[in-house]
Amino acid sequence: MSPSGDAELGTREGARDGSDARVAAVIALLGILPEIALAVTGAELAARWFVRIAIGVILVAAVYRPVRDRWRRRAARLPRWWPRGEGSSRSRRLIARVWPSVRMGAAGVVAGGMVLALAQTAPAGGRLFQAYFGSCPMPRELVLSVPSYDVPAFGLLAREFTDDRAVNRCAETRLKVVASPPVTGLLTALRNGWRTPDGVRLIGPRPDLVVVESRDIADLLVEGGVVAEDVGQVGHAEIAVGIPETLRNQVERETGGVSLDSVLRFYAGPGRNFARPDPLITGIGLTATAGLNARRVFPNAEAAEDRMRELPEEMGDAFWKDQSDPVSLLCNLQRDYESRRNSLLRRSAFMLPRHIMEDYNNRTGQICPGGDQNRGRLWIPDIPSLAVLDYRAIRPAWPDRESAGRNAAVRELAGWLRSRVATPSPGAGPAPGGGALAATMAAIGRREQRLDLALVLDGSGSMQRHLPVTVRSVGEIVDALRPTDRISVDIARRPSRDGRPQIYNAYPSDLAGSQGDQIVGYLGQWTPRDWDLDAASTIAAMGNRPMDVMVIVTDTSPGKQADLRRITAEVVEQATGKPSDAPVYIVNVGDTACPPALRSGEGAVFCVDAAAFDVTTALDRLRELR
Amino acid sequence: MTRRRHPVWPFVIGFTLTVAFSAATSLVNQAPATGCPGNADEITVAAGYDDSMDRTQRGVVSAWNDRGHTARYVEISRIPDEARAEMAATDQDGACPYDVLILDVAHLAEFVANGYASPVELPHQAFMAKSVAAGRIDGTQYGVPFAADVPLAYSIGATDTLVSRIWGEGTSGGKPPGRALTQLDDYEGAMVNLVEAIGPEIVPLLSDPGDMPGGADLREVVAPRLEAWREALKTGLIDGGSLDHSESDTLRAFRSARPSAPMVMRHWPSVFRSLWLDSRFRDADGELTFSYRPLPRGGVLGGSVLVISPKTRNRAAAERLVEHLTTPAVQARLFACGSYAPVLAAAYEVREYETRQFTEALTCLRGDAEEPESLVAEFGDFALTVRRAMDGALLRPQVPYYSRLSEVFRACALTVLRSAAPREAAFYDEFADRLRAAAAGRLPGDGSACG
Repeated sequence: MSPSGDAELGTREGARDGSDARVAAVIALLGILPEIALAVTGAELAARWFVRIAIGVILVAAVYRPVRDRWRRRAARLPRWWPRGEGSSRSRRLIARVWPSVRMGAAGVVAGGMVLALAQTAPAGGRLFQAYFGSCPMPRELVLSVPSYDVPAFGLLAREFTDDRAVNRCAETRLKVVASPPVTGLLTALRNGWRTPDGVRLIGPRPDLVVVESRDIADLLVEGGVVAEDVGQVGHAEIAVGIPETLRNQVERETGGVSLDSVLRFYAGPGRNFARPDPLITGIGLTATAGLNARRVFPNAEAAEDRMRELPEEMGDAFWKDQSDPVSLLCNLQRDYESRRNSLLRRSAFMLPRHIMEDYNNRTGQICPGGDQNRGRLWIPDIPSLAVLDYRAIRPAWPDRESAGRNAAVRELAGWLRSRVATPSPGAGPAPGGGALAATMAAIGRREQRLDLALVLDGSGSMQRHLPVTVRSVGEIVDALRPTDRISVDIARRPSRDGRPQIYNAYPSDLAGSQGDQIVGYLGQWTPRDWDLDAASTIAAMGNRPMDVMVIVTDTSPGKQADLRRITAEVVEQATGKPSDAPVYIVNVGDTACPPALRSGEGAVFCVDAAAFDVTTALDRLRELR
Repeated sequence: MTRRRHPVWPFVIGFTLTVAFSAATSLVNQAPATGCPGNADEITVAAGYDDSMDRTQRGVVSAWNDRGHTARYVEISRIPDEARAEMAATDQDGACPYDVLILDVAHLAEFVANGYASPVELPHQAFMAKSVAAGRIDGTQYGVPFAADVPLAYSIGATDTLVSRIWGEGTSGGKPPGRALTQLDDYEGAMVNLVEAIGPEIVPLLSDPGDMPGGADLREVVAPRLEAWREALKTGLIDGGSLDHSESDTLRAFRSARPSAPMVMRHWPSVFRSLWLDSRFRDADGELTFSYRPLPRGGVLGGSVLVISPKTRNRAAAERLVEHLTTPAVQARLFACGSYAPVLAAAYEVREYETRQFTEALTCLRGDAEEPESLVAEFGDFALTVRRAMDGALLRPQVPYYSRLSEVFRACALTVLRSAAPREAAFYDEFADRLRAAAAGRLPGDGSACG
């Protein structure tokens, strides 16, 4: 094999030059073909640039000779005094000597590149063949993490992406769409390697791409150093202001011209409020709050927060949970609450993505179970939006499973999502700046009344008789917690009659919204059958844990060594002397009443019969102290 | 042509360097990674969440220590498909794959087709035949049996006729008393319920992706039993709530049932413990008020196998861990403490636990009971029943695209169960077409709805 060109520079002439140039072009073309194949299949070749340079050398060689000859012919017609370049004859001789070897080396590189390209593209060719003439080749597994309320929508997009990329209905990728942790826990989750706070479990499959609701949230994660890159905008939504139809006339009358500012100021007035998705869970709520703060409707972010928290406080525990999902929040307009609650909700402006509110108005029955399109309708005035959600996709770094193929597939997915971004409408307001978002998050954090509840279950065999009451009590506790509260579950026991005290951590401290239901489910199969660990030892063993309140669920071990009535003084001593000032509630699920000394509710420990335990009031009192 | 004009050696060098450079790069990429997180002498074991009492499985894996090697148990998710996704994604491209996977048997064929499972030799010959078969694909053993799961019929009151009508051959006679609880919500659990409803004939019919049945064949096998179940749902013989039930819903319904009415629940052995130790399921004399038996025509074998990654960093240590996890003592402990049904016949012989010194398993069984030996004896009876059920268990179709096949099968079969009237022949033709496409891995042409 010999490439074309001037084997002996300056000595060969005529027709041979033309044929050599053609051969050179053919070889270069052959070298380009694998390049094209690689570009089409997306396969990466380690030596690609090496090969490209070699192709360049051959092409230069092919072009060089005719250009040089033309230059010589022209030079021959130049006047005698024109410099002839004799001074460079030595270097020309050197090039003439080296040039054939360089060209042959380049040809070797191209040939090697072709072999490698063939090896690289063969599997893709094989897959194509398989797709048409056999069973489908197995697809690549990708995981996409999106805000929890957006899982169904992204599920549809995932199906569309898979269908788009399918060859003869054979999918190239298998896309698993999972719910992201709450927006305020995302950074921690990524820092922890997508693990639970105690590092024991993964919180689900590690995502290849995480979709967040705004650039600023993406920036926070990128700055946190846990993300490989921000791969761009993959969605767009406007946060608009929706007003219950029943108030439309009043708003139009009293604002003296409906504008964004006038509407916001109207709802900032006494007896009115704003409804938003939970800003600690959703980026929508966070961005909407930042947008509201940017309008300076309230004196400062803290004042805004205090006001907006009045609505869920008024609506009760279930509303805190509904706030984590924009649709559930809206569906509250379909429910009949007692008049006072009803009144505040119906006198609130909803700060939600415009398309969700329009969807709610148009398909109430499908969106809200039992919903009626003629009630609870929203008026979305034709005014600029409050803020914009410029959804971004970020690619977390998982070094243990990085590969060129995976990166290419993830980029392809990101590119596809990017290509579907709708153009913002001209009136859309900007997304709040990064500083505004961080300031809003800080203000919300300062006003948050989050509780960290440590639940301890008596793991002794006598509890078997009281399991239904226990499960019910724990269910009530979990129901009374807000999604951003934390809960842990421990089981206090002795493995044998004289065994050492053991506190078995069944569920580490995590968000009630994430693991509350799991805890109730776990108790459905829980079978306590160990030996008693008395309440005093339990408090002593749990005392160092960070918590706001400890709740011990026990039958008080009547008649046994651990009987609460016998050890009342020790229990008080342990509860008072423990490092944290968190109060201890002993929820008695047994048949024997609580000891009188622990019923007063004064001091650090309080015993209450399960049937009489008003958990909501108890937790609300604790929140007020924070 | 002179040698000077056409030197060959630069060509050879160029060619060799290019190929060698690329090969070296890919070799470096394939070599066991040195910067993997955790201890280099640690075997990583990936699994779903272990929600058993005291996380027995986690405890057993984490306690392993052999010649300086330890094991790290990585719990991925409570949802089996999410655990599968993490395992598949990591093994596909990972320089640091999970060394050992505790894999749902339903996904083994898929992992083998993808090359994420390596052939293994069984550490000993004491495994039960059905479990071994579940770990074998096309004649090669890829999974070492770890935990078995075979459903039982848990009954309150006299339910013989009911059980026979729902899961057996009994079709004649009037409506038997009582109602049955099954799991027919749209998830993998519904698929196993449907296979049990139809019977063992359906398994070979779906086991060859290249030879799937036509509409007429499918109708002949599937339609009579699906129609029987449709009628049973209509008449209340099968509880109507079953169409929306998963395992936890069924258990909740069974536990809250009135003891006066006969009731039967199809469920896994893992729920036995919570019923057995619940005083509400004992009468005044301390006798159990519920009974259990294998499904008459066999239940679908679930459970998990241990799979060693082809890219494991320490195969010898991984094999030793697998061997440890399948010893009779460990299997007995997993059974007695964590409700994981064993894959070894020896671990079902509860009466021998004392002689064999399976102390931890015995401690779990005895607890703080006043009459611990009667509890051990009761558990022994239960163990023998599970073992009997294992012998007659059905394997799911072992095809690489099982999850797609299952999705299509249950979509169409559940359409039949939800229909007001029997479905015509054309429906089964479409059903068969969809199954054929799914078995070959093809996406549904126009949505996943059937009919």
